Formats: sequence, structure tokens, C-alpha cells
Amino acid sequence: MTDIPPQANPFDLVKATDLTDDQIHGYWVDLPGGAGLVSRVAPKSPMPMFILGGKGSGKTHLMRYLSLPLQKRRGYGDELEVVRSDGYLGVYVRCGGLDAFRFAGKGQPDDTWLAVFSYCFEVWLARVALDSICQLVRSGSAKVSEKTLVKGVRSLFDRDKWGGLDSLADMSSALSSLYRQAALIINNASISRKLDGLEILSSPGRLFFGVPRILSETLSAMAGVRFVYLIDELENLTESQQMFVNTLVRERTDPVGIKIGARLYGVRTNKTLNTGEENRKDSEYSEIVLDSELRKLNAEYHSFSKHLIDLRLRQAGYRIGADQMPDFFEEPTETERREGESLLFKKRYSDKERPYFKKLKEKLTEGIRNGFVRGTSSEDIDSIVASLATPHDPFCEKINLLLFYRAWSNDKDLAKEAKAIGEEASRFLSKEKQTEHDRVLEHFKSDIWAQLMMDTKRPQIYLGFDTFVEMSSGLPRCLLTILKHIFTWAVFYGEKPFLEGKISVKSQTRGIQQAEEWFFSEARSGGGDGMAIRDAMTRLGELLREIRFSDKPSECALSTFSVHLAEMTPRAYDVVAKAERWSMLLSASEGQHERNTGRVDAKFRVHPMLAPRWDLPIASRGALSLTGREASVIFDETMSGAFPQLKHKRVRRMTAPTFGKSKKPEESERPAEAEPRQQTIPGIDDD
Amino acid sequence: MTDYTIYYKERMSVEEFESRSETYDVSISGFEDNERSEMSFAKTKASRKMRFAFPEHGYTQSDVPNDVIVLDDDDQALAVIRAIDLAIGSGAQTLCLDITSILSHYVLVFVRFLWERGIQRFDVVYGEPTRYVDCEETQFSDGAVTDVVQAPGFEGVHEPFADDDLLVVSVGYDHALVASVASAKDHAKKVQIYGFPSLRPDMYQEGLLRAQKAAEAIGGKSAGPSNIRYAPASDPFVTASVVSEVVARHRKKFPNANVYLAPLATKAQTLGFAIYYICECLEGPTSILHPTFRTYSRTTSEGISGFWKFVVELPSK
Repeated sequence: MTDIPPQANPFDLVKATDLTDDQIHGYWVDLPGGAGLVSRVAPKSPMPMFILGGKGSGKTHLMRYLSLPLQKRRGYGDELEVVRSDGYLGVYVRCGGLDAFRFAGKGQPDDTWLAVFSYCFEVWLARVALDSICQLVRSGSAKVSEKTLVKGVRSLFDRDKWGGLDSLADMSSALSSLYRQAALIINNASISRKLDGLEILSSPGRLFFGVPRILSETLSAMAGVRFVYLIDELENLTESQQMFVNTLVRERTDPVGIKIGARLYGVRTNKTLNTGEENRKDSEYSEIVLDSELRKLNAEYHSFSKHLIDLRLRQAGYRIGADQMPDFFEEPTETERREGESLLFKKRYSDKERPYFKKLKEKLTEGIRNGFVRGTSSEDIDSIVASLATPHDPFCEKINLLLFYRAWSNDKDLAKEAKAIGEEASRFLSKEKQTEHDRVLEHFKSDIWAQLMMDTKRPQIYLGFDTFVEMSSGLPRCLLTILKHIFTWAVFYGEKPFLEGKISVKSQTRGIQQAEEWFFSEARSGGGDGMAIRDAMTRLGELLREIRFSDKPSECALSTFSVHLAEMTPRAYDVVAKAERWSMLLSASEGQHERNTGRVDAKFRVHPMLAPRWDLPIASRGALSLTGREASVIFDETMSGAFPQLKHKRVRRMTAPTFGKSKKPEESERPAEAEPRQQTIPGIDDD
Repeated sequence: MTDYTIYYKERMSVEEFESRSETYDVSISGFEDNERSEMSFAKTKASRKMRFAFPEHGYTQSDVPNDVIVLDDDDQALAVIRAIDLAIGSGAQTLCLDITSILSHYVLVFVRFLWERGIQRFDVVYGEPTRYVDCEETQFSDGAVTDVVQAPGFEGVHEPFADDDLLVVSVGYDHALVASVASAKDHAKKVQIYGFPSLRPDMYQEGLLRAQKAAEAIGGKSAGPSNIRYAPASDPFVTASVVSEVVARHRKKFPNANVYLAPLATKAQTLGFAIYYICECLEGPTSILHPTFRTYSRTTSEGISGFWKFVVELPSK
């Protein structure tokens, strides 16, 4: 037995919180050209900014990259020289460190807690700020009296409790003690139900704005340098606590800059503590949604992703090169796949009927018996199947079937149609000219493959580096997670990923399954609505899957739906909005033109990371138009009891032998109820 | 480090427990709608027996027997204070805390608040289940974790920007809770404590299957075998010793580290976390965390395989 040393997984660390400062620096990749994230965040700008994004979009990595330790790491000279060169000083904090939920209850009213929280928040930040200032002041080029700085900071307190404080270190210790004393009283209030002894020694905003101002006034080298608070994990604060932070944003003064990082779902309010006033985007603050920005810059994101992974691999000792990345994943070409299918079918179905033809025969039999077939009798079934068969190319057979079912739904003479399709198939296979088959493939290729896999009870496959980048959809952590799992499986199967050969289809498939499960389970911890979001997404996913695998799918590459939001119930609207904030759904900015009214409906797409869960495509083309009621049945749990009926009604229009008709073909008429009209794809009949 | 293994514990069969002559002045039990809850309450002998239904079970007074007091306070600490006041009343010399049907995060608070009231020594009784109703698929909470908070009385004074935080999690069946706590302290190094030996032989594998589902939240830095420890699922004292050792080792390298403890496994282990905290962590940078959720299943187990009695002796205030 060969002894293969185990390969350490180069993608094991996927979270920025797991990284040291050196790793933050080492793993940093920005978007190429003028699209760079650092320039978009604009740390020197006075405009406060919210840096939002789904989990794994890179917010923490970006914010830590902007902080003083990383400025020093990449700059030249001492801390002061670096900061002057950059034009800003970055002070990074995580709101998670505050354990903000303890500022509640314990027999105290809410407004008391708000005052206590605000004070503690500022003392906490002032301590962090002072530590950064200490580093500056002690750098070789700084010429400032610590005593003057300390005096200035002390003056920010309404009442001064301290004796002699000579240095910034003393001042920092004093602030630590202040924070600690307050924390002890707050903690003990669980038991004592009192906050006796807790004194608020500084007015709101004085420390937050005062400490940077004093630095700027005292250290002349800092004049014109922006003091940027990089406040991460805002989602860990309650709504009223966020109102305090919003007030600081609104009241921002020089030299302070504010960059706030939060999950998409983490911003609970734009209100401030000033009665009735709300901060408005592009007025009081600007906003960047990281994963959305990355998705818009498709080519740049692909390039960024290659470099990100290449960097990880190089750090782990691999020598590959960003452009060679896709070569390490097994990804059969179209021709190879079709040849492979031919061999598989020859082997598996040599002495039994192909499953889709078996199904066709059953449907034809039923259709003929119940009068849903024109111009065809039971004797014709075998010849119909024979016309549609191209035994050496199952993929072509599936195209034949799609065309046949389409003809059936249009009440065509099936025996004649089967013959015509068979003749067209011959021309398609000999590549004579542009055939109807080619036109179908332009739109339905991924669906044909998916149906072939489904018919033969094989898992869907999502292969290749480019596919994984598409799936990550602007969330770099998703890409890292996918590769982490794929790497683990590859090693398990005895492969040597990125060393020898290609990573197999099997390893990629297994890895994708695990990554998808992780992504979906993230919503479960999404507060009280986590379960509602998961259940709604499951209903949506099931509906889209049933349509995709129906006999005559109305849309190609379907993972998107459109709806007029105003027609949904408020609860359904709320769940859709939350699903989007939890990155389960992606919003399409261009919307969808509703055919009848010309109205532009909102359009949402299932996040590609979830595509494997319901066997959906990664690339989305068609969109399922839903009425307000239908969308409400899917997303409003109080209406979800009607979902099975909705699913049945929608899918039966695409299912032989009835295609949703309740009468025989010669007696049929359009149903009275107005149904959403699907936008057609060129060359494909209307639904 | 304190050696908690010297503390007294005893396992008894149901018959042995029933035939004990020991009678307490007061016993405090929880109420759940199952045989185990009824049996442990009935078989604990006390002059004054109190049992309480907790808000997360969603009982109303009409759902429960007349002697059960339904606690519907929003404030968890207040609920426990009220329960203790009702139970202790004008004084009790001997007290038994029957944790069989007291939700884990309430176990913590009861122990803490009893100690605050000057009760340093009391017995804890726990009826072990025969099995969980759906084995490794048993749902304990409704899965909707709303927040991860510090348990009342177990809030530490933390260094807000320390880099070497530690999260010690005793890993139980409910992987959603493990994932939520691990995500809440994303940046911390995680040490997992698995219950081994488990309460019943098959429960160890069932717990592992569930814990695997939380693996992504635990994270790369903490995924290795060096970050896994074992403590008997039914022994609070060995659990306390293991936690003490883990924290002490971390603090030796990182003296100012914040430490977060999350007992998410058995109630016996939760008791161990509480004992450790009161003995070694008060007013320091250590907190016990627990996830909050809307509702908790009323029936998670079947049968009763025996009883444990733990004699808890806490330091003087």
C-alpha cells in the first residue's frame, strides 16, 4: 500500500475572524483596476458609510485591512508616518465584544438602559482609540506631550474622578477601570435589580468625537488626517442601541470618519434619537453592499476569485497560477458527456426500456384512453416511440421528447409530429443546418441535461471552477467553503488535489452538497423568522424544481420568479424581504416587465448556492411569473396550506397527458381565470 | 484549579431512589408533560414540594395540574427569583433541586440565585431518560434561535478587544444551538466537550451525528482533535474539572483572554458549568452563554432509567 502523506486543507480557514493580522494582509486581494474595494469604501472621506453584505462577503476582512495594525503592516515608516501617508487612522472594533444584550431588563426601564449603553459604548471606544493613539505617539516621529493629551481627554468628562494621570497608558487604565466598574454594576443588576453606584460621567458624543479632536489639535502631524472608527458587527446591537449609533452618524464632525459593518439583515433601523428623524442614504450616509457590488462586476469578480484562491494555494505551498485554476477540476466537454451517456445507456438499458420512453408510453396510453390525444391510437404508440428514438444519443432523445410534448400540448397530430421530429433529429445529428433542436438547445440545454440525470436517478452535477465562482455570487466565503469541502472529499477518495491530476466529478459533487447544506442551515439561526424563511424557500424551490422537470417546462434555466409586491400579503412581503437580507434570494435590479399591463414587477432569484438543494440551474434565464396570491401562498406561512394545490395547478399545465386541460382537445377552451402570462423565449411557443 | 471530583454523587435505580428515607424541607422541580417529570417529582420526598412550568414550554395554568405554578415572566432572572421566594418562604434547612424537568438555562440561574440567597449546600436530583424520542433526530427547541445572551448571574467583565477569546461548548443533540453560539462568538477559539460516557450507550454516536451538523460554525481553527475534550454526560463534577482545566490552560497562554462557556448538552453537565463558574469565575472575564428561543418541546424523552443525586457544596459568599 502506498503511503500518501495527508494534505492539509489550504481552505480550512474561511472566516476573517479566524485570521491573524499577517493572514489578513497575506490573503488580501482587491478587485482589479478602478473597481478596488478600498477606494470604494474611501476611508478618508468624511461621509459615514455602511458596509453591508451577506455572511462571507468580506466585510470583516476589508475593515480589518483598513485598521492601524494592517496599515502599519503594509506601509513604510512608523505608525505616524504610515497614517499621514494614508491620510487616515483606522480604529477597528467589533460590537460583538460589548455583549450588548445585557443592557436590558433587570428591572430597569429602557431609557435608563439606553443612557447606560451609550455611555459604556463610548468609554469602550475611547479605550480602543487611546490604544491606537498610544501606538502613534510612541512612534519615533511623533512630537507630542502625553500629558497634554491626557489633560485633553480628562476634560471630556463632566466629572473627573482620578488623581494624577501622567501618561496615555495611565489614562487607558483609568478608562478600563471605569468600564469595568460599570460592567460589574450592570452584571450584578440581574440579582440586585438595581444600578446603584453607576455614574454617567460624560455626555453623549463627547468621548466619541472628543478623543479624535484632541489628538488632531494636540499632535500637529495629525492635522488633516481622518480618524476613522471601523465599527463591525452592528447586527449585535439592539434597535435602540443602533439608534444611538445612527445619532453619532448624523452628528458626525471632523476629524471623525465612521465606517459601519453589518450583515444585510443586521441594520434594524435608520432612526436616530432625535425625535422623528431618520438618517437617509446618500444624505447622512452612503452604503455599499459588498456581495451585490461584486456580482455586478462579474468579470472582475471572476478574476478576483482566481487570485484569491491562487493566493491561498501559494501560501500553502502549491504553485499553480490563477489562470490554471480551472484546469484542476474534471469537467467533461459536451461531446464527452454525450458519449458518456451513450455508453451508460447502452450498458444500463440494453435489455430494458429507457425510463423516459416508458413514461411516455404510460402517458400516451392514459391520454388516448381519456381523449387527450389527437389523431393517435394505441397502435401508434410503438411507432411514435420508434420515431423519437436515437439510441446512440440519449441527449438527442430528450430534445425529441421536449419537442414532442410541446406539440402534444398544442393538440397536434402526434403520430405525424413524432415522424417530423425524428427526421429533424437526423438533420440535427448530422449537423446539417440550424434545426429546431439547435434552437431548443440555445435555451434549454442545462434543463435537458438535468432531466436526463433525473430520469436515470443520478445526482445533478455542478462542476468546474467557474461554476463555483458563479455559485458563490459575490460571497468569497462561499467559494472558500465549496473548495474546502471539495478538497476534503478529494483527499478522502485518494486524489491529490492541485498536485496530480484533476479533482473528480465525484469529489466536486460531494463537496457541493455539503457546502449547500451549510449555506441553507445558516438561516436557521436567523432569529424567530429563520424557520419561516427556510420553509418558504423550500416551497419555492420545490415549485421551481417541479416545473424544471415537467414534460414541457414553461421557462428555461428556471431559478427566478417575478411578482407585483403590492399584491402580496404583508407577511409574505416581509418574508421575501428577509429571505433577501439573509442572502437566500437575490434581487434583480432590472425587474420583470409584466406582459399584460406593462408594469415592472420585482424579480428575485434563488441564491445559486442553494441551486443543488432543489436541482436548479446555476445560471438563471427564465422567470416564473407569480400572482400576488401565489407568492403569498409560498411565502406567508398562514397561507401555505394551499401550496400543494398551487403546485399541482401550476405544474399540470406542463404535464402530459392533460396539460392542465379538463376537456377533450376538440372541446377545449382557455380557462376562465386569468393566469400570469410567461414572457416567451424566441422560437418557443407560449405557455 | 479546584478538584471537583471529590464532591459526592450517587446513582440509584428507580426503586432505590423511591425507598430512600431522606426527606427534605423543600424540593423545587420543573414540570413537563411526561412520565419522567411526574416520576421524579413524585418520588422526591420533601415537606414542601414546589414545581414550576417555564415560559418556553408555553403552558397556561389550565394546561397543568393545580399544584404547578406557571412562570410567565419575560425576565428569566425574575422568574427564578419568584420561584425561589415561593419555595423557600420562611426558611428551609435542607433543599433538593430536582433538575429533571428544569430547562438547562434555568438550572444555571437556580444554582446561582440559591447561592446568592445564602444556600451553599443543597442536593440536586436528576432522573435519566431511557432514550430520546427520535434518537439523533430529536427536536428539543423549535430551532428558531432568537439571540445568544449571557445567563443572568453569569455575566463576566470582558476585555472588549482581546484577540484570544475562548469558547467552551459542551456539545449536545441540538446542533442549531451549538451553531448559533459558535456563530455568536465567531472569532473565539472553540473547545468542544463531548459527553462520554454518554447517558446511554447509543447517545454518544447520536450526539456526534448532530454535532457534525454544527461543524461549519465551529470553524477551521477549532476543528482539530486537540480542541475536543470528554467529560461524562452524567457527571457535573468531572465536567467542572474538565472545564477548569481547559480554561486554566488557555489563560496560562493568554492571561487576559475572554472566556465564554456554553453548556448545551446534558443538565448534569450544565450543573457542572454553574458550579465551576461560582467557584472560580465570579467578577472575572468569563460568561456563560445560552441561546434563547421561542418554544421548547415538551416531550423529548421516554422512560426513566435511574436517578442521580449530586451533593452541591458551594463556597461562602
